[in-house]
Amino acid sequence: MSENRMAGRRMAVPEKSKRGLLGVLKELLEYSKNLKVPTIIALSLAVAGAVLTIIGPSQLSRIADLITEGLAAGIDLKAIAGVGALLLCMYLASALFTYVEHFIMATITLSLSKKMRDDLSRKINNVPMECFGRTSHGDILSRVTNDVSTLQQALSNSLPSIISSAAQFVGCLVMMFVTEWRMALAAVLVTLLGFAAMALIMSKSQRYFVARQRNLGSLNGYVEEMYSGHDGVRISCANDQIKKVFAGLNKEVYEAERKSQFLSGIMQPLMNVVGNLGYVVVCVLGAVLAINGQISFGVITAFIMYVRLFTSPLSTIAQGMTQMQTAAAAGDRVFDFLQEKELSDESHKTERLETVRGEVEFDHVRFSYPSNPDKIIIKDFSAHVLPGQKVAIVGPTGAGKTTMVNLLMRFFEINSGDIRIDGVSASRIL
Amino acid sequence: MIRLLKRMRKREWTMAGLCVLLVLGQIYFDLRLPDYMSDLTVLIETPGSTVAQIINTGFQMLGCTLASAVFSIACGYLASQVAAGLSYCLREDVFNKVADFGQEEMQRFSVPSLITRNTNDITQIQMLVAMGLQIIVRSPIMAVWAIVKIIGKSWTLSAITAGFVAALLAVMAFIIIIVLPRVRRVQRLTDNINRISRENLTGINVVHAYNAEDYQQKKFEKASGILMRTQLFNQRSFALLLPSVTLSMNALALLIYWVGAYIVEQVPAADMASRITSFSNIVVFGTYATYVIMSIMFMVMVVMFLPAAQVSAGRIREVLEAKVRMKEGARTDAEEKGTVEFKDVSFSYPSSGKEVLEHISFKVNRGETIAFIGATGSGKTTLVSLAARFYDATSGQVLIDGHDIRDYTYEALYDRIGYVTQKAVLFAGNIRDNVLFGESLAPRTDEDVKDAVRLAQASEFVNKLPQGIDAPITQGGTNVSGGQKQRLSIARALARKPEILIFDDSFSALDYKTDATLRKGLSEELGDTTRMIVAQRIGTIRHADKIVVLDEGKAVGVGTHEELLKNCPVYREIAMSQLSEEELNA
Ligand SMILES: Nc1ncnc2c1ncn2[C@@H]1O[C@H](COP(=O)(O)OP(=O)(O)OP(=O)(O)O)[C@@H](O)[C@H]1O
Ligand SMILES: Nc1ncnc2c1ncn2[C@@H]1O[C@H](COP(=O)(O)OP(=O)(O)OP(=O)(O)O)[C@@H](O)[C@H]1O
Ligand SMILES: [Mg+2]
Ligand SMILES: [Mg+2]
Repeated sequence: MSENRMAGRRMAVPEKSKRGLLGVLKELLEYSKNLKVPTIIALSLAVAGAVLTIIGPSQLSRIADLITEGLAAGIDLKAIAGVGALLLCMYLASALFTYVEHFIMATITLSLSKKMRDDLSRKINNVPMECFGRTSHGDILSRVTNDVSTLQQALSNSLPSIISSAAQFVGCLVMMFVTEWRMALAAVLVTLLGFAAMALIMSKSQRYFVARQRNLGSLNGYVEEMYSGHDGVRISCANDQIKKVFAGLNKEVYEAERKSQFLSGIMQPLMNVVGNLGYVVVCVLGAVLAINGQISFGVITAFIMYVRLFTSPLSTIAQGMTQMQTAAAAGDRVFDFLQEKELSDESHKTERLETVRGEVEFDHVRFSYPSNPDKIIIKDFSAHVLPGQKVAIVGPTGAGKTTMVNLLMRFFEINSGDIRIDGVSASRIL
Repeated sequence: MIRLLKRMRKREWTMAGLCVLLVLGQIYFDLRLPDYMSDLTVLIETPGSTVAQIINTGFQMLGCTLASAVFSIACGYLASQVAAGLSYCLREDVFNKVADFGQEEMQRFSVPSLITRNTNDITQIQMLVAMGLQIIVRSPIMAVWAIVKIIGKSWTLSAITAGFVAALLAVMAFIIIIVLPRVRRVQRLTDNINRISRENLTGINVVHAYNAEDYQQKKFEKASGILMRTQLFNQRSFALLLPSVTLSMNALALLIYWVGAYIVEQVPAADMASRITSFSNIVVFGTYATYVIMSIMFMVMVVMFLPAAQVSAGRIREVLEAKVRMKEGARTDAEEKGTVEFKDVSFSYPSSGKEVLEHISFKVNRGETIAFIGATGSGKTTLVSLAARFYDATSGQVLIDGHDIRDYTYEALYDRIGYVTQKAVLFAGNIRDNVLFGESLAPRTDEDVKDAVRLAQASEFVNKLPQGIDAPITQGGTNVSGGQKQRLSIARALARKPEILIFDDSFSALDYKTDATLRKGLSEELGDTTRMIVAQRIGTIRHADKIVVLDEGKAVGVGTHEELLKNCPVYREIAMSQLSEEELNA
């Protein structure tokens, strides 16, 4: 039983996020037209803020040099004060930019997520009933709340931090090579190692993230169903049985989770290691070069900071990317539902019945449920009901009475024939 | 939060403990690095140092780095396993707890809220633990350890660092005091949204039929808007955190060098060695101070997650610590068979307190049929649900097979009773799964399924399905007709082969002919089985051995059809509205 049940709940979700990250982002831009400009402004601010911080170490290195030069003779305190004041201003500006960027992103992504939620909710009322056969209520609810919120958080936090980290990364790279090429090379080589490790982990983990999201979806669906049918569970003494099924689903989630979380769990430490390694390399190489008089001490100070500024974006990008991965999976699910075929496109339906007379005509209607197309429920049915007439639909159970009403309400589309209300085809009525 | 952690398995605890030890090791090695840097500074500034000396120090640094690497990766691995394990345990505990809830608890918490608790809330906790084990443990230790290392080096610089730390803590305090309560609200508002869309989903047919889409949508958008505004405030406040931390970190490094210059300058120029030591101290101080601020930054990150996780933890705990009011008995056997007796039973729902049933008494014996009839809201469902112990009577006693219903184990009780609820419930799966749902003493072969399906008059339509009893059923049974759904849920009750069958308005969606054949089949094949039938149609119940007429929770008449026609005005009124003159007199 449990096997069967779980198999029945499997939805046709591909292993990877099917639109991919970029696909989801593209779709987002199409989805919300007024997203583009503020996002660009915010992202530019994020970049500006990052660039300003990068200039810091080179100025700090000047201060360190001023001190080391003055170790023997006497330190030029005035010059230090000048550099310090300038640097402080830059830091303040950078902080301001970052704040404004966060502010903008929070604002636009939250209104985006509201729009999404509202559209999802509207969609619920517009999709054909068969859709609910394929997707459990819990699963749909999880899209309205969880998935939208995952997407929002990724967009407002991860996206800008990826961009600003990238800017910081590139900026650092340039500044390092400008300052001292040998040390820059060493630092970059060490960090490249980190890159490689990260890329490997990323490519391995995506599958597990999708699997986790999917397993979680079917688990949530099961929880929803059993909680709603609690009476039935109780009178059937099914407590132990559903616990067992749940335990199976839970185990699957656990396995997927262990794998996906492990990979994201060691990401941070791995980056930390790379940072430390860079620190050591810079210190030692710098010391050797300094002793030979090839560089000043300030360069080491600068590089100690550069290495940190250079590796920390990598871990930020790595974290951001894992979050964007989850977001892409979430985005997939949201857009899948938003793009679910509607009962039929209502936009070109122009006919609106202002005053309904109440004339109903079934004209050679033929219908079968989409899930079971071979079994024709209504076969070539015709009837004409005049306004004010009272007509009863009678028949044994399962004869198709509810189906008939469903068709009149246009919950399903008919295979052939036509249903007319006041002479207007129902499929054209708004 | 802490109390939830107690639910972890031994395995997780061991891993968590190990993780803390590893963190300590990692911090130790991380903090050794600046010390070596200080050595290097001295070497650089002291004329006559050799490259060999530097390389030597370099190897020691490398050793520290590798040691720290091993510790931190092992810790990251363990933390993720602990988090996954914890959420696994919590999900299991919550689900198992709720599965054993009574109707009362289900209503108190409400289904949508329970669903969120079992899903989202647990994910929140998991995220916090995954990060927390690495950060909550590491950051404070790191900060304190780093402070201890630098505090003696320079009082001026220590004071400056303290100033920054205090400022950062103030920002954090603002977030915790002002924003946290609002984050709590976000959870409530999300629940609300969940509830509204769920209502919409479950009542989708009604929504369509009444063209209530716009009404539903407005309701949803209102809730959605409130959620957005609350989140807007929260996220804008949180936006303060990161820039202020970065600013502190940068400004502090700058100030340390800036002020450091003055400190070095104060050492007399003649004492070159002291000037060098003083300078190397400042370089090291800078690094440690950065560690302190960085630790605080990580703590800030956790703080951002903390409120949501705390709310979730509270909500999960509420479920786990909820007391199930109904207590299971121990009795499994009884001398009598198939008897049900109500002794002066009164009942009011825990949520409303209004008496729904008043002083109900009757008794049915094995093989008899008792019927209940009355206007809607008169208490019929409530009455039969007491016989299935959905609730316990507020006063009086319900006896099954001669013993108080509260004495039985649930298994013993539900093996005796087959209950078809008023609203037929089917689960996703196939027909066989649905008929054999749950456990019972009755045999459970395909033959038994087919037998139950046949008795429930469902075989005619099941046989027409290409897959027969393996035909799929969607959630809520939306792919079968109303009558078919009802018959499948009847088949489920029959498959349990109980002594007592309870039908709560279970023939309402059947046509008269199917209704009649079904009842005929039941009395022919299950003559020994006691039947309790709630019905609206006189035709369905007129041949019952005993009929109880309910009116606003009171039994206003008990007897056979003929007796009641004579002396129960309420019954006569119902009968007159449904039967023709000759049927009445027949
Ligand atoms: N969503 C669906 N997918 C596939 N088949 C369906 C679906 N809904 C109903 N059917 C099938 O269509 C047939 C007609 O169903 P319908 O609900 O119209 O019957 P009905 O006349 O209303 O019966 P009742 O009196 O029992 O309510 C039944 O055999 C049923 O199994
Ligand atoms: N869970 C509940 N909590 C509080 N009050 C309830 C609950 N369920 C039912 N009631 C109330 O108890 C009274 C009796 O309800 P009950 O469902 O027993 O009526 P019924 O006779 O079965 O009606 P119907 O013929 O419509 O099924 C009603 O006033 C109803 O509002
Ligand atoms: Mg029907
Ligand atoms: Mg009822």
